[in-house]
Amino acid sequence: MTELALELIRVEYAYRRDVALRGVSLQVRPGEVVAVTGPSGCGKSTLLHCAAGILRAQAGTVHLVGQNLAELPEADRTRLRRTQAGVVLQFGQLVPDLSLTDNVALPLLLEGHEREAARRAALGWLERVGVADDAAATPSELSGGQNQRAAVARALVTGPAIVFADEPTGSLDTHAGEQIMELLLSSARVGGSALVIVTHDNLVAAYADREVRLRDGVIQHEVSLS
Amino acid sequence: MNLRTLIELARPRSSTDRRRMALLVSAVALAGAFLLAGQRVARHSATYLDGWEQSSYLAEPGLRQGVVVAAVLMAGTACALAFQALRLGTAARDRRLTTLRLAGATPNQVRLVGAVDAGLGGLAGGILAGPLYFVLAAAVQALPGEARVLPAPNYLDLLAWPVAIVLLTVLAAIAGRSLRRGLVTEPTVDPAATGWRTKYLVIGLVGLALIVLSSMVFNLVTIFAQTAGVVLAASGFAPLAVARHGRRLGRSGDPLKMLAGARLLHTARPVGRMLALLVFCGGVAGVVMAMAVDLQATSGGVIQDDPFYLTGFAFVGLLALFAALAAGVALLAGTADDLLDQRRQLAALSVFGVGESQLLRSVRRRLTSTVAPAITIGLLIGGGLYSSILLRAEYSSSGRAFVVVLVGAVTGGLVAWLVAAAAAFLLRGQVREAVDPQNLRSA
Ligand SMILES: Nc1ncnc2c1ncn2[C@@H]1O[C@H](COP(=O)(O)OP(=O)(O)O)[C@@H](O)[C@H]1O
Ligand SMILES: [Mg+2]
Repeated sequence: MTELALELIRVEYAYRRDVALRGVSLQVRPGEVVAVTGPSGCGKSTLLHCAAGILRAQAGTVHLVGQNLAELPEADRTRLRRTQAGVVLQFGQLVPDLSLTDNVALPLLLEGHEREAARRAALGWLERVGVADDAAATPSELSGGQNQRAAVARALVTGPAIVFADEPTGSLDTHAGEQIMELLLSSARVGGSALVIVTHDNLVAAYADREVRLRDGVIQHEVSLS
Repeated sequence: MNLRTLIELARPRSSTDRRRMALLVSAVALAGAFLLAGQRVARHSATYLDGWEQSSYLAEPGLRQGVVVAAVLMAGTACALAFQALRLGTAARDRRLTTLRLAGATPNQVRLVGAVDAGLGGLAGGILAGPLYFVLAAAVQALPGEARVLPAPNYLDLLAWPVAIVLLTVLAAIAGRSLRRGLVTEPTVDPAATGWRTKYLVIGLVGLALIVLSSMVFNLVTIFAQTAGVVLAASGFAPLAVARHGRRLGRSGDPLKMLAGARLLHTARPVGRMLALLVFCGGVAGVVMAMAVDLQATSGGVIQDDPFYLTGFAFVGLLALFAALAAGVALLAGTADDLLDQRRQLAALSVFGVGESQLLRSVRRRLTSTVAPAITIGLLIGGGLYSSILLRAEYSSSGRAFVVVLVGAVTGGLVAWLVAAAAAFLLRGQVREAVDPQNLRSA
């Protein structure tokens, strides 16, 4: 059996007042596309943040490419996250002061790559997502769709095992949204990355191999789509 | 919209808004207090003959004018700080006001909200200026005779105060209104664009020419021309230097330097303005330093206990320090504002391992790498120019003054570096808030 890209075992997370996750278990195989759906406030973002190691699960375990996040020292956890996980948010994640190229090169630079090599890799990805012409522009000079394309490039530039996307098309019009969805799917396929997409767009769920429906912090049901 | 609605809309809402308002009110109050002090000195007419124990700086009409100029300069510095405070949080407030626009408010009404917001701050500051001035003046009366550079307050100050309140309120309202000018109508222009550079280069070169030309002649006008030259050169070159430094950091390949550099490049003008003020303060301190060394050498050590010189040096030094602190506060507040404004982007970086400590380091680099050189350069310019005047006047002490200036500049830079690093530490709360995963949520 190949190693899972992601495994959550009875993960719980509570904010000061609200309990957001009440024991969620989930397995994602390498290259698999999973859609997480559910009404607003059901805990989708919290689930994603716990899985990506941005938030620390308060109970249960999270394995990212076979490694238990809770057992790793902080430095190793950061490194694992940086190399094995990509994140795409709804909007506004690119540093406004940096050009698209520098934004996409950033994870590689943090990984210790040479500047020129990092920029070349970044440019390659910008070309793949179709914004190579705007590589020198800053995010504020471009449309939301173009920014999301660059965000996809940044999430994939390190060749992660899994990409987490939190409503990546939520701030775009239908057409641009579809383009980003297709881009995410094809890019993930090229890189062999698994994909976990949070969405409440039914259409997006149709792209996935599997739909996980969340309600009040628990998985209500799972549907295999492929 | 009636006034009540306007005030309601302009009212500070968030804790940041309130902090911005507090900074605005304090800066305006300081400006007002300095203005009141200035008018009090200007109205002062007592001479030595009146037998009243007072500072020579008040008794001599020529020196008295200098005190008035110093008070006005300080009021100007405090106003600059107030203006900087007004600009804080503009991104967030602009978004709020844009919502207002979308809800049907006309551009004029939006500008009116800006004017009322700032005007209220000016009003509060003006009201506070009175008590602040009276406390200051009373405190000065407690100093030994030569240090009493402010006369005792009198009843006319009570008339000047309301005038100051009106003046400051109107000024603040105008400033607040002007800051809303670009709202909604202007498309976003990348502030790193190069269009502004030529203008600043010309200003800087004019300043430089003024310094060079004026040091060819030697009379009293030289000092003023050189001062003006330093102000122009610093105002012109500082933003250019910041942009250059930012670009260089951006190309370094170190991601934290890259982030610091990119932010500097995008804030080159506001940061450059504050650095120019720091250069000027350093320059004043440099002059005082060289002057003290020279007097020490030529007077055979008597200035140590000459209250006239001690008072002069102490007050000029204090004023320079105050102005430098104002510039520092403005820089710090601007940095805090950036952190708040970019929190979502910064939080997104935490996924890649740019956490609290890395971000704090990047912020510290931004502050130390600009503030320390500004102070050093200022000290070198001020001390150097004064020493060269001494040299041309063939004073024997000039050599020693040069050495002291050099040592002082290095020490000053070091101290400034430490202060900036400590100040960056004050921002750790803002840094922590910026990288909070909470910021990654939509809406
Ligand atoms: N910082 C917070 N403090 C308190 N409660 C929170 C916080 N963030 C989220 N919650 C609550 O946790 C629950 C799950 O939120 P979230 O994961 O954002 O849901 P979704 O992404 O599905 O809309 C909601 O009830 C929300 O109100
Ligand atoms: Mg969410």
